[in-house]
Amino acid sequence: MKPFSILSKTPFLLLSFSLLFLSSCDDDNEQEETPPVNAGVEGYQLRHNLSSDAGYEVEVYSPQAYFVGYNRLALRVRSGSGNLVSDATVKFLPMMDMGSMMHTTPVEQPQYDADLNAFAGSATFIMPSTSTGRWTMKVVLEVPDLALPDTLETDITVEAAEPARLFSFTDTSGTGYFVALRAPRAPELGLNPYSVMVYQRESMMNLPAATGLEVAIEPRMPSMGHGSPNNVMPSEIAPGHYEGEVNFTMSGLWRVHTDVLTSEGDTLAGDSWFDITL
Amino acid sequence: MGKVLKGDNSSNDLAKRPVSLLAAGLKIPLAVLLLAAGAAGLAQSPDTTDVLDRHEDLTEVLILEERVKNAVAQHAFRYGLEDKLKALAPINLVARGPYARELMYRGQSGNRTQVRVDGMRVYMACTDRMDPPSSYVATNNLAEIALQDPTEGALQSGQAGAVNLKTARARLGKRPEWRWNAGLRGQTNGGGAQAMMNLERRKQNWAVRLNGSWQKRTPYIDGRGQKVDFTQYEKQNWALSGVYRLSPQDKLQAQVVYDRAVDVGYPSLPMDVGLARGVISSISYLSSRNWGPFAGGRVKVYFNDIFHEMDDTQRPHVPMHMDMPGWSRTYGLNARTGQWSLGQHQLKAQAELYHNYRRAEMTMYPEGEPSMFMLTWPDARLSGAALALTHQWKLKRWYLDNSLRLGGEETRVSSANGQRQWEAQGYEVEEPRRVLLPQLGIKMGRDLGARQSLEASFSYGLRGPTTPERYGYYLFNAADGYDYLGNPDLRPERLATYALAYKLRQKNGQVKGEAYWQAYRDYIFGAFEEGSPLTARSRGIRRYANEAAASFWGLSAQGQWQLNAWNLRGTLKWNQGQLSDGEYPPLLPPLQGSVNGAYSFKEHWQVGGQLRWALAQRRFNRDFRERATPGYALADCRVAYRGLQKSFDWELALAGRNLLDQYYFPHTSINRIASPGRNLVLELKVMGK
Repeated sequence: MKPFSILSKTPFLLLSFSLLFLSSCDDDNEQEETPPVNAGVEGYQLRHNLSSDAGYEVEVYSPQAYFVGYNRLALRVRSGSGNLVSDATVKFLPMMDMGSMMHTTPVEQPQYDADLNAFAGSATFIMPSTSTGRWTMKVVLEVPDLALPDTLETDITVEAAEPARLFSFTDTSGTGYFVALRAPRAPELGLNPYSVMVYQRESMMNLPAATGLEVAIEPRMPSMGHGSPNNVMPSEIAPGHYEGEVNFTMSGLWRVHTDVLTSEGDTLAGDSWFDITL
Repeated sequence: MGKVLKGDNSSNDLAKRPVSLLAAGLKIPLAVLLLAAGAAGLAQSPDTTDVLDRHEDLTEVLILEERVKNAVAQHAFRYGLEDKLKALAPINLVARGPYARELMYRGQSGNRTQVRVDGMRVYMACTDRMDPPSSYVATNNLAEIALQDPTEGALQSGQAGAVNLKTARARLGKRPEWRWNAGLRGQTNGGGAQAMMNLERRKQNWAVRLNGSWQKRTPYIDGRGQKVDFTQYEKQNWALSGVYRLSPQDKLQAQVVYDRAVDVGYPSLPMDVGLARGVISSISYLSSRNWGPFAGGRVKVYFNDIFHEMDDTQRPHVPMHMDMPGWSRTYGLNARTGQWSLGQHQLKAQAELYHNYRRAEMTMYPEGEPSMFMLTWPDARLSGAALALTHQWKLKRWYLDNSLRLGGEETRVSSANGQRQWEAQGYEVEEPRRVLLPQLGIKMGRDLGARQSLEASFSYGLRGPTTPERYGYYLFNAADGYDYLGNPDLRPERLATYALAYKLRQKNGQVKGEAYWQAYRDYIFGAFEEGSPLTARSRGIRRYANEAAASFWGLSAQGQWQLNAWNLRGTLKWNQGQLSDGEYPPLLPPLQGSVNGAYSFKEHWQVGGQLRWALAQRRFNRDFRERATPGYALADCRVAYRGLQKSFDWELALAGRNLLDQYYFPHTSINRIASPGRNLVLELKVMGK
């Protein structure tokens, strides 16, 4: 039995050696490196840096370039001395100017998120920037030692998403709706959270969350025609935010058919989907 | 044990064996039927101890005449391996094409028949069961096929029976010598050729043997003159074995087999095999020193590595191209003691440890879309350990054989992707599954006079769910057209087997008749399930479940008769079964049999003929897309001439199979693929001496 016990211990020995080696490396790094600038907003990139007249700076981050669909945004407010400010109130207001008309787009206004060390919110862009349509973003900053809110503004570019991350439909009364895919962001084999944001268009300047609806999903692989078991139908966990689970039984292209229904079960949108590749 | 492996001449060995076995039958409760060498050596002098040690655990042993060099062995009709296997009463074959038939013991396919190579576990790497362990052994390297019924439970647990394929080994010589033989074979139906050789160097303290075989086949023609597509294959197999004497009582043995098959057609399935590669290796230590009270023993450590890759590029109308590689690696240790004799009692002990890793993938390539991937065997690991004791007791005309095996298995999914996949199916798979697998066998016999005996046996055992049954993930089954899903929460399957056997031994022959009944509980079977299948051709989903019960029963008889230069043999077998829903089980072999006879004359010539037949099978399972299968009767013949030279013998043989060019397919041929029509085989062999 002796040779076997040695054999079985060998991997552990190797492992402990490598752990020793790794930990010594870590010590060196800690001494030499300063904390990264983006601590807290890893995975986000700085898109704009806006300066207020009062000396505050607002940094706008997003994980990727703005696209038509649900965009996570993180904002950081710095005082003149460069310190991060957490007790501010920040709001943003994206606006599409098409010359003859203007409209806004659905947003989740930023809330301070200690993990991100930033104000986190979202903007769901419903169309891309075009030659005749220009997107701007206004950021309204309220800080305790400012008497009046400060409004900052910048031009932004919104790209069309491929595959689509947003679809729209109109119900029988003529109300328009927008459905944006919120998760999964990094799909894996097996069960993934699946969530969408549903907004309705009350007016050009008011696109509130659409509440009290039902969302039904059915993932299918278009080239195979098959689906998957054990999906969890989304339910509303916050206004307009419907979350369930989707099961990807294999990698490849999945088409997640996403129906929107009234609480009575009448189908509002029955032929829409999001394509997800893993 | 030492005597077993003493380095004597194998041809003498075989010639002596039959007599010793008849003698042994009177002394200990064993029935050994020799089908190939058969009664050929009835007139030879006995060497009882040698044979007793070799075969005491075996109900039936098939010794292949490839190793028989003496002229007397010509008395038996010589035929291919497949016919020899089918001549064994408990054995039927499942066919997916002409290559790699799967062995069924008492009508049980799949995991209910355990097939080992030299006592080693070899787990398939193919999710479609295209590579049973028997496919990694070349016919000319196969020395014996040993069958073990479940009362002799040292090898198996909860299985219907076990088949051990023993390969040829290098043997020590009393004096230094070279041994060799070579052969060539060609045929008219399904062209191609086969070449075989082996070369052995024997010395007093060491010996080395190299065995090689190569064959290539093109598609064959069925009895209606139609070419049966995808029945081609090409295969080579190399085996190197060595033995070294450490001391007069101790020996080391080592062996490595390399097998490589390419372009193997499987007409029953929607795809073929591009490459099947197996490396099977072992090192054994054998001792005839006393191990405590036991007379000697043997320890073997082994490793085998199987790789299997399917290929659909030759097929027309492939909805979507896919790659399906599979890997299986097994490590193990077998230990076995010699006998401990206590008066009329004899005891032996056996232990084994084993570990198997299996992974299989499927990648599909839709046009203009990203490829699709899944883990069909999710890095599954199975570990097991078992300890077995066998006990024999002889009391006047009564004899008793008992066996007790206690084993355990642990299975788990070792990759994160595999775990996620199974968690999404609603199973908790981070924790390994553990099962305890006891097996008990009792056989009681009584000699009725000097020539007859009657025996009754009972066995009960648990079979642990296999990797495909636990963790197989949407595995398409071409037989029923469903995607099979594993079930990590399966319980072990329980099997009770009752058997009654009658044996008659005469001077010139022997007959054995047997009836058996198998009662399964928690029978592992694919239950229909709602849901969407994953593979392109699939009709739906079945998931392995513990069905309440299933029963199988059957009758068999086999016999042989030898008189002067005449040799006659026959087999008859019938299997029947019922699932818990009252349906017939799939792949139920119909009543069938074979009779053959051979006549040898003038020392050089042998002529022989054979009739193989099966009745129609009307007991079929609709869920498996089975239909009634018509019966058939086939005639074969063989003429051989043997030339005896000073330093070698040679033999030229012409065999005709399915002489009447019948169109037929056995019921156990999946998807009713027709068997070959008439085929003439010409064979030349040269044997050094």
